[in-house]
Amino acid sequence: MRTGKPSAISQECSNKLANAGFVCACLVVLNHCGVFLGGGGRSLFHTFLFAVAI
Amino acid sequence: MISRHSMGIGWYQREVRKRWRTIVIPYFSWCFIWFLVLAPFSVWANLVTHRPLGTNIPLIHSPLVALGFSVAEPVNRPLWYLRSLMILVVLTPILKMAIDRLKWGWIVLVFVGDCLVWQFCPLYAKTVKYFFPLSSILYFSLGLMLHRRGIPVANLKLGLGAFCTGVVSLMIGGEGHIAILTLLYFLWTVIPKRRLPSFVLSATFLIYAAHMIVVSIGDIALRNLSFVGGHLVVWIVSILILLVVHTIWNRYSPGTYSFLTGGRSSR
Repeated sequence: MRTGKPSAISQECSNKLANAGFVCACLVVLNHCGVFLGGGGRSLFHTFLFAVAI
Repeated sequence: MISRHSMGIGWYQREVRKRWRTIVIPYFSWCFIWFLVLAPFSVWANLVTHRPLGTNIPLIHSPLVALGFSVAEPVNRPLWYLRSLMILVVLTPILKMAIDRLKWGWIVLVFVGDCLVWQFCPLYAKTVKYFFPLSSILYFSLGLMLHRRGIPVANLKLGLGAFCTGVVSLMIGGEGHIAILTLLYFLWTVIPKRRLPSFVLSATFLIYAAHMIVVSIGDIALRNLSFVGGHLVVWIVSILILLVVHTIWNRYSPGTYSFLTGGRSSR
């Protein structure tokens, strides 16, 4: 698998991470609205993405 | 924090101090706001259903729990994530050192540990997971590792393969790490490269921190919509409401808004 430059986040990656934060927040809301996304799954989902995005 | 490479004490103190503003203050503030907004609703529901007035109101049981000082989940449940982040920030030097020394070995070690601990350590599932959340440590470490090694370039074919693997894995084994990682990769491939409008992105934290309030009220208001479409209506309406609240609040009281969102009000 090809990877980007070490220790540097490109503009494209930065955009994707910012968008991912919003998408994950929406998924968390969806989960709390009662639509099944997987209990532990969604938690880890946003742990990871926010961890990268922070 | 993860972009830093120097590890002096000064750096650590600076970063931890910064997290007071971005993590600790928003955590306690939103626990309290959750209580302030939902307590009157609980009183009303208790009156209507002839239950004791204190039912479902955390402050009655313990003021500290209402303010977010609970051993288990915080009153505003999604904020468990911020609480985990507080722990992870404190642990960052150790995690960074472990990754420097063991590299992928550290990820494997935590992965195996997280798989085994649920089986062999009942105390972990009961209480220890709140103070030492191994799954959060695993994904935070993975985030650190990806930042070092570079984030995988999105490849749609691989993404579709990951999606199929994730779905099969979910159906066979439930919500394991394989399902999570593969679906995460799929999500990564389909997320647009172009930045979403800034007013949408800067609303992310408010959506995350305040959605339980809106969803809870929405559930009461639309409780008759018990089909999946009803849940979707609550979902879409909740996000729209939060976007409107974000826009108005950020416009008319930017200082308060910035304080409560840890300075995430504008991007």
